Amino acid sequence: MISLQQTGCIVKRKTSQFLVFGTLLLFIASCTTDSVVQNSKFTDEYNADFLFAYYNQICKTAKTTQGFFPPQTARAYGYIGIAGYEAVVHGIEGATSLQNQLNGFDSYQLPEVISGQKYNWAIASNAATARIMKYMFDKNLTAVNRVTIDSIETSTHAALSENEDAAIVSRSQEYGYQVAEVVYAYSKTDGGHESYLDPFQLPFSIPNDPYCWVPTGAVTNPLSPKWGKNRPFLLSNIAKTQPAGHMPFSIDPSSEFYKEAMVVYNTVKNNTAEQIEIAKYWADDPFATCTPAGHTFNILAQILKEERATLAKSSMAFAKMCLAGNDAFISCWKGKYDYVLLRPVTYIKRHIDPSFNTVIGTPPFPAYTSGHSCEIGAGSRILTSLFTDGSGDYSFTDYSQLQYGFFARSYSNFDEMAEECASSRLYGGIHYPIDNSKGLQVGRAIGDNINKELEWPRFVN
Amino acid sequence: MNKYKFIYLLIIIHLASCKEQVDYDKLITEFADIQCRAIVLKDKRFQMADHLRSIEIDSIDKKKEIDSLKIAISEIKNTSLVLADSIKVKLDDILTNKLSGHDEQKEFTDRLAAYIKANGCSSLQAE
Repeated sequence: MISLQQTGCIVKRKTSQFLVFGTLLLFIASCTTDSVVQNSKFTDEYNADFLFAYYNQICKTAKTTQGFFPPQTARAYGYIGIAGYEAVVHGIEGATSLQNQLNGFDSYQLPEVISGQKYNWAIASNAATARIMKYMFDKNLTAVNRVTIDSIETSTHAALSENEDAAIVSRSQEYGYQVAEVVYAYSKTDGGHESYLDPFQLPFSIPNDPYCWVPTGAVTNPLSPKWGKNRPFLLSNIAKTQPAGHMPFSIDPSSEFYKEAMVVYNTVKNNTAEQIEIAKYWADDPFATCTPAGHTFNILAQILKEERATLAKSSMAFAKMCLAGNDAFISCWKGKYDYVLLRPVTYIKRHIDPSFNTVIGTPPFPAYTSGHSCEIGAGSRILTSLFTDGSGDYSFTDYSQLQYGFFARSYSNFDEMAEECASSRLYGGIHYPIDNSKGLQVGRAIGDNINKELEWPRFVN
Repeated sequence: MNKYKFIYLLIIIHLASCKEQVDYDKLITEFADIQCRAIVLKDKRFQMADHLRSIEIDSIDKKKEIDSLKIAISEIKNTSLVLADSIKVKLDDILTNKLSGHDEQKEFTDRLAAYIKANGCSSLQAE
């Protein structure tokens, strides 16, 4: 007969066997990809200062690289943002890769993280961002810009590698490079690969009908007429955002179209000094602009920096904006070349006042809809999702243009900022009001799609 | 005794929380010069763009003028970009290290704009 004492020992032995077995089971179960997240420092434990330096450099590179017009620049941002996000996504709790979410991306195989191994996600991000940046500007990248990107990469890598295990450094860097390679391969099949080498996509001709676009300056070919056929990141961003047509073209002074042109004419004739300044502010610069996308990214980077956003939040923020910007230009350009509408200056000179001049230069592509309006409409929705409760209420001052000779401008709401940007094209005399209102509508729909149709991690702040 | 310790603690906390007042005048005086240079360059760029637009229509007759203007534009663009880099470094320093929070930053930029508008930039020439 077993004594009470012996029973107690048996129970203890069985319990400890159970515990050992149970622990073993738990350990085996935890050896999944999630164990990489558990083993490595989380992405939100790194700051994003180096990422801000890269995005500042993208703007400077776009300004000084031949062939980078608004669509091409937005596209470059698009893939840079994806690479940056994918390089760190495994270090963000609850985050989902974009691989099976973006149009056509599932045909490409992103590198896998090695189960049970540690990664430094900042090192991975640094490697991925530097490499994809050089790829996106590639053949026209100036030596100066290439050296600058290399310099940011090298100095960042050195700083991040300090006190880090050499094997982790090497593994993380290699992972980042592989992410960039896959994203670049993905980019090559979207229809816009190396478009900076032939941004006018000749041959292309526009009909001679009275409503049709004609050159408004020395550039006689319209920019990127086939851009609307590029592959978007979300199919719904093109299929479900196209605006209805503009009012019927007419030269009858009693027609809606004539009245629309008169609004442009009267606005320019009666512009206040403030409106002229706004027109120039959002045009950025006649010679060295990093385009509408660049301006929006400068605002985003500034706010992220002010909020001391971590690498995790910053990577997601840039990815969202990158996707939105690229698709905004594809959708906008589809509309422009579906309607090939002549610019206000052409119509006004022909039918209202031959001496009419615009406040800023009219870019060489059709009017409907406004690229600025599309882009800022999308951008404002992304900013709203990142920094507000959905209301768009956020007080900030845009310092990004101070360095180029503009005074800083302040806003209390992202929609207010978007409306001002869209209106700037009317003040400049280069868009009809409907170009701007419909452009905003298209852009906002795209921004909303990016926010809602993709899975994004949630951050507390 | 506990009461005095509490008061002592309050004084320490108050002293520790005392923030140095921002010397806006000093910051503005330091920054206004390069900002004015940027403004002058910006105005010149837009004027050059307007001029180029107006003569490009008659491009055959005005080829020499256009070519010469484009060279000038290239120079002013390079000067502007170099100046922009300097301004960004200085501005980042001011916004990050000398001002805290949106209110102080907005106060600085508002006062800067008012100072430049009041004094004008005509006395400063772009390099």
